[in-house]
Amino acid sequence: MFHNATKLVIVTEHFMCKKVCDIIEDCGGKGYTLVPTGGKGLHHLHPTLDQATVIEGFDNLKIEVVMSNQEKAEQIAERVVSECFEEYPGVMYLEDVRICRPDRF
Amino acid sequence: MEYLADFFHQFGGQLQSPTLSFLIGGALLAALGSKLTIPNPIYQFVVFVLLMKIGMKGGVEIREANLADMFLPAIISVIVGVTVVLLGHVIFSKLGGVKQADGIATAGLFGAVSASTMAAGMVMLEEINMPFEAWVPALYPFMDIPALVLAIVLASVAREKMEKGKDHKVDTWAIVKESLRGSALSALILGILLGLLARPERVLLSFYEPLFRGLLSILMLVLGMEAWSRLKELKEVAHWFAIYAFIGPILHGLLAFALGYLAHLWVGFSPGGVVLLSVIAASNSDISGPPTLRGGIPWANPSSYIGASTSVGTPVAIAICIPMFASLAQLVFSN
Repeated sequence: MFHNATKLVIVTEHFMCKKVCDIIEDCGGKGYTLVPTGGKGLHHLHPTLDQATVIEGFDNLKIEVVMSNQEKAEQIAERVVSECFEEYPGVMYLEDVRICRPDRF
Repeated sequence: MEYLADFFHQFGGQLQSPTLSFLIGGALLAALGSKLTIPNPIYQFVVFVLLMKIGMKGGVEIREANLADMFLPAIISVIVGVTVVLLGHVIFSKLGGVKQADGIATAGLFGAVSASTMAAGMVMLEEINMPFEAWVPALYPFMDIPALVLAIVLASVAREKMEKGKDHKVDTWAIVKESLRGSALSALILGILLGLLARPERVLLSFYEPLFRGLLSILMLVLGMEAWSRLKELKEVAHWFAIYAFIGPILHGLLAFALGYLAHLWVGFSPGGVVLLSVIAASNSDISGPPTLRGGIPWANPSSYIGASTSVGTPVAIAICIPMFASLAQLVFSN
């Protein structure tokens, strides 16, 4: 029932979300999951939603995309690094996952 | 001397207003390490209700107003927004240890407008019974957008000069769109349109009006907490940012006060209008300006401009500038 796939996780600032999601779709991603998040980075604490962030767009989001084709996931990662992470902060990693209904990824 | 004593008496009295005490209370809570937090969705709701109320009330009254009266104050707003950025750019370029882009971005944020400071200014004017034209809050985008656009253009031109051959085209329309889509301006403009085109009086009087002051006190508490918690970021950048953030709002407000006074003489701009225009000029964008600058000048360090604005600039605009300009107006216009 389960098939091997690759999950790419990108944590970045909210206002970078559209750009990252455009890259995902451009590279053939059929969908993605957005999760509000927070935590500590290299420079400072990024608050979670239980605390007001006065400034819009600086809250953090975790963008998850699962791809049945690992090469495509890596292609997304390369583009996100070169187009977004040169000037904006972000964290990114790949995970091996097991999925059902592979035609959806 | 008597005038001066009068001025300080009024100034002292206004420092005790609920708006300021909540701001100070918020900073105190954060300083003492309190675990109290106001969740982000509540903060966003508060901003939405405040701006809708300001917009609707303005829209309803604009229906009957003579919009030609707005022309000169709107031009003044553009002039102030642009001058603040140019002035800030010149000042920061003469100071040591300040990266050019950081200076320009900070100047841009101080030229832009804070909705919360504007709301606090409106409450203060109501408290001292100093009426103002209902369209004055609609001057917000006239100052805000030119300041942000100019800052991004200046920073991009400067970078192009440094990295010859690299093209940094500025998409002005994208910046304008980004500003208009920010939550504060969206709510304000929607409110104005509803007030102008629909008949929202009943919901305005039964829901938005009674909530206004209470919600503003929560917003002030949040701003006080934010101001304290961002101080650490400000400490990590050059001390010039803190000095500029302290003096800038006062200077910018005084510039608008002088130009507003001319509009008072020429077209009868009300004293309350002059004060609110000065408060708008003294304010520095704290909600929607930073993401616009972050998108437009990504190579500037956000700790410098956000730290300067939220830790020092906004508290100075609310706690010092609002009572100062109200006192100044009572002094200037009563003679």
